[in-house]
Amino acid sequence: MSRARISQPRVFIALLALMAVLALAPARVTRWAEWFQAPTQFVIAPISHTFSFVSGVFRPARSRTLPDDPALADLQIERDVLQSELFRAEGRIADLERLVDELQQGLSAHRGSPIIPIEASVVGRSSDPSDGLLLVRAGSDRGVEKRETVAVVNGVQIVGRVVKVGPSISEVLPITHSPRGRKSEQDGGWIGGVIHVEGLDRSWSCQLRATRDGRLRGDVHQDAENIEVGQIVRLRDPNWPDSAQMLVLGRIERVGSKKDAPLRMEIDVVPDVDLARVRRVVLRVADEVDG
Amino acid sequence: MSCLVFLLAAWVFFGLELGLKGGLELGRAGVAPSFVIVLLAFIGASAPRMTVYWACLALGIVMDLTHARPTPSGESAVVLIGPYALGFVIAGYAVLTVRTLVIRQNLLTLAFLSVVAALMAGVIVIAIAAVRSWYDPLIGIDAGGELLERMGSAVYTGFVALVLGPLLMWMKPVFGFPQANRRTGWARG
Repeated sequence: MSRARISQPRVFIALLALMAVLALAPARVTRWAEWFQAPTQFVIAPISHTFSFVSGVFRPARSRTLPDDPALADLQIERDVLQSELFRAEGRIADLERLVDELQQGLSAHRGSPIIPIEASVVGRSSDPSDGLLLVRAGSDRGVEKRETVAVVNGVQIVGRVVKVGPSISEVLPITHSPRGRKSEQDGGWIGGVIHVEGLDRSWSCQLRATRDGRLRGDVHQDAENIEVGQIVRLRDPNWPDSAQMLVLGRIERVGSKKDAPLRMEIDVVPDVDLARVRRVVLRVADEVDG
Repeated sequence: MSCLVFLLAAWVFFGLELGLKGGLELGRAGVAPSFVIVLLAFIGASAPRMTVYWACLALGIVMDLTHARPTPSGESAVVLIGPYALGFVIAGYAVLTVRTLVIRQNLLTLAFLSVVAALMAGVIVIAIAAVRSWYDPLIGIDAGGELLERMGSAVYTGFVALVLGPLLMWMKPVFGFPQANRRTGWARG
């Protein structure tokens, strides 16, 4: 048996000192280190994918609303996709009407782009569970772009947004991941949503934020009425890419008043599946992404 | 210790860490076992002192490279090199200190060393993130909450070590650990 003959304490101490400096250096100074991440993930991905598959078999991400019959489930997914497309088209019409107004005033605006769906398997999760990131087998080689690409499951259920892109593996931050720390309390992690009230032809906006238990919680517009448990909440947030607008954030699980402002309505929204356990996602990549 | 066997074992254990850890998470509490820590404790219990330090450093750097920390805005994620590398080296030091007081061939010893290593590594990683969060706008941390999660994860890691222990003990000859640790100057073991 060959034995490693590495016993250079000075080299080790120098490396340890380097690690200490890097550990405390501001992130913007150490961005170069990200270059080493892609090869590392590339090497580990085959075996982590195998274990991820095993994990998914024993603890699958079951839908809360889809029927068990696969044919019926496919039909329901197709219906949900078409419904999302309809809402998206209506939003686009509203945008175009605004564009006409802007052009009449000599302004131009960014237009939506065609979407290419890319199926990708989840090869693992971040080695630190508090990060909550999902590793998916699709990267810049397939057109995935940071912040511009969103991952969905069951056709319309948003899993999250791509926050890091490697050559062949990307990292998706689930919408249910709760940002940590004081800074995030102030400004981070809010997602804009909209609730369509069937029959009334009205929709109400809401602002949601992930809680620590896999839900989204937030305020509904102060004039909102007829908000009920079970209604679908869709994404409508200018900070998210066009390809994600009107996709489903989840269903309302609880309607109540806010603790610190009893006159304001608060809702809990739960995604259709446990987003941390999905095995495959569809990445919605915009065909052309304008800077 | 055989470098080749170490690399293969690290590959498999990192595969478990990325692929299986999420599936073993307890509810939504963020409490999940660390397979890499079990490997660290196993090597720490058996290998010469300097080899343990090198192995811990290598495992820590790879650990740093296999996770990114989401920014508070949730729009991006940053890779931090160093926190786990330092945390694992200090965890290795703790294991080396404790191993002289325990029966190394006992299965419970591996579980105990795994808990100690996971706690030490967790405390260091949280401490570094907390210090960074004071001046780096890209880092946000709820130190108290994370510390609780990591304490739970450390205990869970101990249970996983009990399961993996027999397999690792059986594979011990393949790793090529020396029968008696050599005592050489700085690398006294």
